[in-house]
Amino acid sequence: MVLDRRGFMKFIAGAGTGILATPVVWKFTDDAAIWTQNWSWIPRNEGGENTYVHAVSKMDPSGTPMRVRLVNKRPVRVLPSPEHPLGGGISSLAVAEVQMMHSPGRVKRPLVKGPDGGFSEIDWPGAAELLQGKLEEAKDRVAFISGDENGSTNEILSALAKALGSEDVFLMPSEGQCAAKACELMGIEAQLGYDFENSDYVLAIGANLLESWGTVVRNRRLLKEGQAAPFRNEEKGVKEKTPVITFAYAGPVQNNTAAVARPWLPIYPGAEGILALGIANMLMARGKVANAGDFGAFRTLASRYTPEETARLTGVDPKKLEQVVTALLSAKAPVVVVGSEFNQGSGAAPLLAGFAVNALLDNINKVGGVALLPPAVVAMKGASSRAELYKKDLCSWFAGKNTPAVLVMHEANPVYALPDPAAVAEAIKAVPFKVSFSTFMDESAALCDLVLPIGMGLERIDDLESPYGCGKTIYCISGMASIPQENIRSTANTLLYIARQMGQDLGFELFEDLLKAKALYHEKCSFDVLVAGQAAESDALVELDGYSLRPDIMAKALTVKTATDTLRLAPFAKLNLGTAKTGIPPYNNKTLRAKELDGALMTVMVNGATASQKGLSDGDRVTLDNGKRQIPAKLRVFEGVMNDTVAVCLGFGHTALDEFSQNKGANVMELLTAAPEPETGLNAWSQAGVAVSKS
Amino acid sequence: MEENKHCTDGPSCRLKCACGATPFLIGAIVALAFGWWIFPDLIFSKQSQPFYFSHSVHADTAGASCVDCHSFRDDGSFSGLPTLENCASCHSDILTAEPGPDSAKAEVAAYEAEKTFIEEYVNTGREVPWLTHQYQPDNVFFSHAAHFQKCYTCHLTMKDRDGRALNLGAPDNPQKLCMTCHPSLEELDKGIPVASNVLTDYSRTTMKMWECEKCHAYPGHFYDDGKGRTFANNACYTCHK
Repeated sequence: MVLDRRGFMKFIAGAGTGILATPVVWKFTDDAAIWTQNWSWIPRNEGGENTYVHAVSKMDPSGTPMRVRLVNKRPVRVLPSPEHPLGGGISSLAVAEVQMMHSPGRVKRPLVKGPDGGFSEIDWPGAAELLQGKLEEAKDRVAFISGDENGSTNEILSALAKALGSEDVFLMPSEGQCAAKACELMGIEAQLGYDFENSDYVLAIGANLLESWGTVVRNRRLLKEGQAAPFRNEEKGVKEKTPVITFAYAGPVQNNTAAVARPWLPIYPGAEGILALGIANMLMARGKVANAGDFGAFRTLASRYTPEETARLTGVDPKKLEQVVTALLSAKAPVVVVGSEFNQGSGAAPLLAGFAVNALLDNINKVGGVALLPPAVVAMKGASSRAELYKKDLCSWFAGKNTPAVLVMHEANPVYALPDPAAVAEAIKAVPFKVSFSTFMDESAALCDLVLPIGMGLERIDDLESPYGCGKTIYCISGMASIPQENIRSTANTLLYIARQMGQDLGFELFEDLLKAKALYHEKCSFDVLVAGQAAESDALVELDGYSLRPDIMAKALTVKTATDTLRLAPFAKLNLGTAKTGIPPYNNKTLRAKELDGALMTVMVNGATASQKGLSDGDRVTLDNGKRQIPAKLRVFEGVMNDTVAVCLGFGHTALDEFSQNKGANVMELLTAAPEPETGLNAWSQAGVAVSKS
Repeated sequence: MEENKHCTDGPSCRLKCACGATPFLIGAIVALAFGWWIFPDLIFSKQSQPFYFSHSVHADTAGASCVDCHSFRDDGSFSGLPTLENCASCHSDILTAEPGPDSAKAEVAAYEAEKTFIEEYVNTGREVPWLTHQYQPDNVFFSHAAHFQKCYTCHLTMKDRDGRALNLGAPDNPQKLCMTCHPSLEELDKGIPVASNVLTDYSRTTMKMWECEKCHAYPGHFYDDGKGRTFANNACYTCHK
């Protein structure tokens, strides 16, 4: 047989037809598609030995304890730490710790600003020498701002400041500071704690328990356990229900705390203190008294706030208020928490009113009530205690046009987080030499002359002592879970080194030595045990012996501004949007809903009645104007907002950090202005009015 | 035309030249043979495990259960293959009796395998570089815990509408659910080579989406169980995070 050209073509045609009846073409097509998805430069998961270490989130202000899964000693996942007294769950911020280690917003090496305003790299010895020189020149004209109120690095900051002759060491404003000021005004040398574990009724007035107030993860765990208990019993066939915690909430926005509260009492923003006085009046009408020196004056003050007057000033529904007061009286261990929807700016007076309600409920230092915790210990000679640092108000300092020669910021971003950020930025720009110890290139770091990278919580050894809100004294140390991903050093060790170079002996060579010394204050827990993840706990309480409720201060400081042509501004916090220090974690961008952010435009919310009154409708593009600054937004009509109130979420409007935080909405702090709270020495910014108009 | 001239010489000529369907048929047969018998061997590389391992010996003779070696970690993730420490907890020394001249082939193989394991891995502390027959690529999130709990618990007892048992994991053969994706124990005991695609590097048994959808897109799995849950979610984010 001869295979000629025609025959060959037939053979090829046959082969082509035949091959179509085999997997070859389809398999090749499929494999080629997969092959193009697996280029060599695409990172792959690496396997290896799985181990677990314990750590505490330093990104999350509530100090969430974490169990970190390591594969080949590389952190890959953050898990809850169920045994820890502050644990039992995980927050959306703590869970992002591993991913944030690789964030594009991180400061990767020490940076120094050049004459052209651009940053260039500098090595650590050079950076330390530069900072040392500036501190030596500045002497007592040095100021420190810390954004970590629960860590011992503050001892080094304050001891160094004192050694240089400066008293200007500040903590970023927080709920803890307002509570500390309230205690100071009442003559109580203690930290306010709340024993939710043993309480059966928690009334949160303003305090956003599940998002921003105090020990968020612990609060969530207790709510979950309390609500799940009857269902578990039902499944088991147990008829008698175990006691559960009921969370009630009063606030202007149906935030995540309000959504699960039973009931939610809508009130005007900034009316928390007045509502507490109204509740106090109703409790006294039922025979409750407090054992305070000035109780008579308090009774006189509170009697002004009849249920009708309280309803008029706060907007609360009198029936629901009566329901809550009845529940407080019938509960075995009720406790009242007063705070802010966004963990700042409420001032001390509302806390005074809240303490008075608790005193009337006779729950101070009682099981399930308010716990007066001993002040945090100080191990470094010359260092200021947390209580002493709380006494200094950062907003007052900025308002006083103080300009130090050197400003050192540790994990603090005042340019984003303080009211009127533009004014704060101008004040910081006026400082001749400013330094930021920061993990991320945030708004404040971007203004600095020297930016020194510090590690994430997983990359450094650090501690956490009794974060505000916890019901007992708790001390934990977080060990290094990971080798540093960037060229970092700790603030503490850098400043200890500089102090030594300056001839200042702060008593410790390394930060670890300071933590070892602090561990000695806690019985039953050695340094090694603490590093392994166990928390040192103490039930010790400060005896309540002679205190004042300070109705004189409440009378002057507790007012509710009435809206005229403006709406009341109700900022609220959501933990998934991060903090001023972190910005929005990349993964958490997925949790942003279309009704929260439309492109680059953030959403603000009013209820239907308010929208009609102002001639606004759902979807309108609006401008919020406080007379000084304006921010653009998209209006959403949501019935979970109090009348005459516009609700705005914190966490948007970053101009620094990374692509995951930038170009998303506006910073609501631009609409807030700090104003001195009468008689307390603090500033408050929980009551602001804004005009909302179509743009 | 020239071709036509060739074929005008009669029937014998048609046999000599490549006229008719013969070349076409030959071509088709060659392609089919290549496509169905040769190509599958070419596209997959074949590798052998470091040493012979018998699941049957461990399960039947030693009485080990699946979770003794393939367990869930504390965080619920699946450990997959056992570590050296896990194996060495039993095999710190050679347990198999030394085979004699009359020993069966399988006994000799088992002894040699264990000897290799002790000498090369236990004594040196080196992890065994086991090869995985079936793994999913990084772009897919697969939870053994979810499949084990949700699929296994139902398929043990449930029946379809016609009363037939949905016995993916029948009580008498609990590994059957595992075998939905993994090679059977019999195949593994035969020491089948680990096959990887030379183009994609995927294992031969890596499941493609259409295979996942046998269950995930199965209408019966969308029924609400009364607690607002479906039995198998087929949304994209279920597997692709």
